[in-house]
Amino acid sequence: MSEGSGKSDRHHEGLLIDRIRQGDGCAMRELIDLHKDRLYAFIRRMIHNHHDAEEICQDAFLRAFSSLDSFSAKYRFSTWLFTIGYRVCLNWLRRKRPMTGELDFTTLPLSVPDAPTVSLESEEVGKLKNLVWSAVDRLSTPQRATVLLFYRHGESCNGIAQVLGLPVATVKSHLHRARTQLRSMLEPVVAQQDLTEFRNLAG
Amino acid sequence: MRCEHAQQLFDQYLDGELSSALKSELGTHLLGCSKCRQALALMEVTGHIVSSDQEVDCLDEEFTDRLLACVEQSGSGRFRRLRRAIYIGGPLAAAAVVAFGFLGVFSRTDTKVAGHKHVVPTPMVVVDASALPPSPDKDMFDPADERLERWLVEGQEHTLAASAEGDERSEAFDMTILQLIDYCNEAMKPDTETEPSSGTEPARSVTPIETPPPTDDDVEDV
Repeated sequence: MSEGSGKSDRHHEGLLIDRIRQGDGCAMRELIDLHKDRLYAFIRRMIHNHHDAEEICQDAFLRAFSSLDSFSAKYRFSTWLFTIGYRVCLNWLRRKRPMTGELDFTTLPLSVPDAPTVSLESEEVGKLKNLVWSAVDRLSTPQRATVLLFYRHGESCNGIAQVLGLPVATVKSHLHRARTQLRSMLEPVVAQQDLTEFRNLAG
Repeated sequence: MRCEHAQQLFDQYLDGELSSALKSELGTHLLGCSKCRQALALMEVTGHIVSSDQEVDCLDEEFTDRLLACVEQSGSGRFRRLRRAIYIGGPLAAAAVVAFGFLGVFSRTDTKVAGHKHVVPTPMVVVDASALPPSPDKDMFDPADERLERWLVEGQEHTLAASAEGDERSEAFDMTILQLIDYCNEAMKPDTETEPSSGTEPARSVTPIETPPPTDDDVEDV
């Protein structure tokens, strides 16, 4: 879904969609395999549950294929698919808990979760990673989606705006506020640490 | 440049949208301000962790197969022709479902196909029982018996042949499995001439023993 998708990728995608519209099951399988991992990765980070994420991923594909006639070739299929997936996520989250808007991060203590750290890394790096993800999880839904799409899926603000169905200015505002909140949550925890080691992660 | 102004430029710097002049001015400020330097480093590291950390989970290999099966069951007219593509693309998967269905019968006493949710369709086509393989004998139900293996193969070939006939035989395909399961369950029932059958427990044969009634001295401590 990155901006680097070439014209050849878009052309091939268009051919697959045309074949699917004619009932080609092999083309459908290929299109699923092209997008399923990225879609699942996004949904998985949004709702934190493997089985529910798999179910939402499947639901998104089913909805996409059932309304394939309304898909316009001027968009990338991945953008359209992610749009559907995000909306299914929102429905799932609303069913699970009411939408309360932005979280008041100042009252939520940030502690190191018990998630297993990645092997072959220092313990401190692993702890910082867990802290970062814990802070990301505390963002509001649209902010979390913006951060994931921007950083993890390499999407531009314009692309994020399409997926989330928001104006570009709103997306930029979400990104700015998310960064501010992440910084506010993490600064007290890592204030005494030297980030030199961690900056090596940035290459 | 003051810290407040410098921190307002962080977003543009992280997005690569800062002009050369402002980037130079920000760099000069960061050299002399550890607080802003730490804050920017934290945001850079956070962004890098989010962008590059490995996934916690991934989809299993059968996700696409299950999804295609759901598309088929959706009954959309466009995707009806997908059935042939799916069966052509996954004949081993279809045969495995049939095989596990038969094996499930021999390891369980209920009619549920092992490991699979079995949706019972409304029967539209009644399969001619004489076209099915003959019901196996009771003594064939020895897993080591070669006749059992041959019967399984015959059953698979019959059901796969039914599915290859096309859409109009799809209901017969499902009904064939159900009828074969019923045949197996019937064959596994105990013989009523030698063993009286009951609802839940096998009846015990009681042989009358002529013994005197117990006295108080014969009562055993329990």
